[in-house]
Amino acid sequence: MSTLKQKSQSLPRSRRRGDLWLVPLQVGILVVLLVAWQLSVSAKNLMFFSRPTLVAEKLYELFVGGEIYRHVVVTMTEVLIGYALGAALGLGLGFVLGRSRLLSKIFQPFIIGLYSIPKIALAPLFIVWFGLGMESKIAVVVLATFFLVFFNTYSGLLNVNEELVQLARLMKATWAQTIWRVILPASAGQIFIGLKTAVPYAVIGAVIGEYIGSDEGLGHFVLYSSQTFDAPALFAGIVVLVFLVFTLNFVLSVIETRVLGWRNASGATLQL
Amino acid sequence: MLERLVPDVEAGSRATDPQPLVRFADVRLVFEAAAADVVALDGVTFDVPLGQITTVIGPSGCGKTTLLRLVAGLTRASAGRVLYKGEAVAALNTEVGYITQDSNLFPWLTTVENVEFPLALRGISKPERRERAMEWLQLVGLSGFESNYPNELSGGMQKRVSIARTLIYEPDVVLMDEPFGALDAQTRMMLHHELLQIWSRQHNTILFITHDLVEAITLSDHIVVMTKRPGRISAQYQVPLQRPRNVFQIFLEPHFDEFYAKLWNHFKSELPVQPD
Ligand SMILES: Nc1ncnc2c1ncn2[C@@H]1O[C@H](COP(=O)(O)OP(=O)(O)O)[C@@H](O)[C@H]1O
Ligand SMILES: [Mg+2]
Repeated sequence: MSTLKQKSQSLPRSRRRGDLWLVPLQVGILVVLLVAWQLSVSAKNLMFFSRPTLVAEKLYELFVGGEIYRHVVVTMTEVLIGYALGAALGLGLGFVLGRSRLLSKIFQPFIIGLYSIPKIALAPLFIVWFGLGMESKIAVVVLATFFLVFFNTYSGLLNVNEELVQLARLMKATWAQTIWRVILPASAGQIFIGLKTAVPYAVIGAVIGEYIGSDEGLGHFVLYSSQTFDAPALFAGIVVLVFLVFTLNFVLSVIETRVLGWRNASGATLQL
Repeated sequence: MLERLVPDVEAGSRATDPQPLVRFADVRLVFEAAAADVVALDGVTFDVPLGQITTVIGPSGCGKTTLLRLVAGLTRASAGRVLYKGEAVAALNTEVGYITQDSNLFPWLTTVENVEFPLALRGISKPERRERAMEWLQLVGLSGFESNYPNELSGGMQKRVSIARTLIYEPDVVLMDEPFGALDAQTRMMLHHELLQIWSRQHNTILFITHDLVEAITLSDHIVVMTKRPGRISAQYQVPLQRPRNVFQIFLEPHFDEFYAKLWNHFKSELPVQPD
């Protein structure tokens, strides 16, 4: 009994005691890669590949000098607004089509058609429609986010055990209660997969939009650095982008752990 | 096989029960399929009397689950009528409690949260529903497991949770679809015992499904025997065993042997190969 209690209240998988070696190992691998990068770039190639120490210096300079903040804020704004809109639309439509056999039949060909369009390829079109400002980048982010969230929500809902829904209804659950207490928790795992995979695509969407036409944002900063052969700045921009994706994913993971905490239950089966 | 609707003499009085809780009246149910229609039920007529345990027994695929779904309003009859308290079931019947073949617990809720789920739906305050759920957990022998998730429980324990989750909201009729079919013999006996203990206090109306003769005799007041597809009623019996029954030694109860022999003879006559 007591061992069972301990298990069910244990930490998420990656932090269990048996996995303590994991983080040092991962840090070690990163250090090895950085050292290899540092040592392998010759003076002749420095202009193209830079060096971790130079990139670090550049990052320091950018943040202390404050030059980078403007770009971070612009890209963050595009990503956050676009992601929120795209995720809300994806959740909403995924929910409706996931519960309605008729609507899902009607719209299926359209959705598959839209899905097969490479969304990023539409970025130039959005620039034409919405101009060089943030709106066009937000549009790209909305589209990139929407599809991933929509498809995962939709398939999550199709996989909900219908018997659980019927049981709840027989227990006198209203539709609102059924959605909130049964359908959402039952599909939350798949919905979070959609929300999390959409994060890097949202950032890529914003950056590509900025590559195509913009005078601010991290995409613009990276492109400008490449045009001026400023390799340390280019890598510094990419590091900031990676950090952005990590941060957003971390926030989502925290929410996910709170919502899906039950999944970490040990799964040990007890006998009578 | 050729005889249909041969009500047993002993069951005669049941068929004329003035107001049974559930009545199947000449129910026919056809599943339409592209290849060929499947006649799942044909001419099914029987009553589920108030406060008794009625068991339907029949081979798999004969339409037993379909019977329960009809009472719950999850399926509609193609012909004939399913009456609940004298009225045709026309929509979801929220007065039934349905214990499905799989335990179907909510995997994201702990044991106690599963049991109090129906009370939460009814807006009962947290302290009150928690207290009642804990009482039920004690009744089904699960005290100490309230904060475990379903995947941490054995099959027998999950079954107990599923029973507690249904009985806690006191439905007028409890539908139980082969609930103990997947359990080992000892666990099953324990659950028979616990179910009868609870029933002896509350006298719930139970419509129980099984394909196990001994289980049917152990639990029920009234047994309805179905033929294989298309499902028809081939006989009905009143169980002559006294209550309370000792489920652990049901074979020693007076009348068990003769009644078992009678049921078995009936079953034997329907087997494709005649055993000795
Ligand atoms: N939704 C359905 N569509 C088509 N056929 C079905 C459906 N549900 C059940 N059946 C068929 O009806 C018959 C009775 O099913 P069921 O009530 O589940 O039997 P049992 O519970 O006695 O095993 C089976 O032959 C089954 O294949
Ligand atoms: Mg069945």
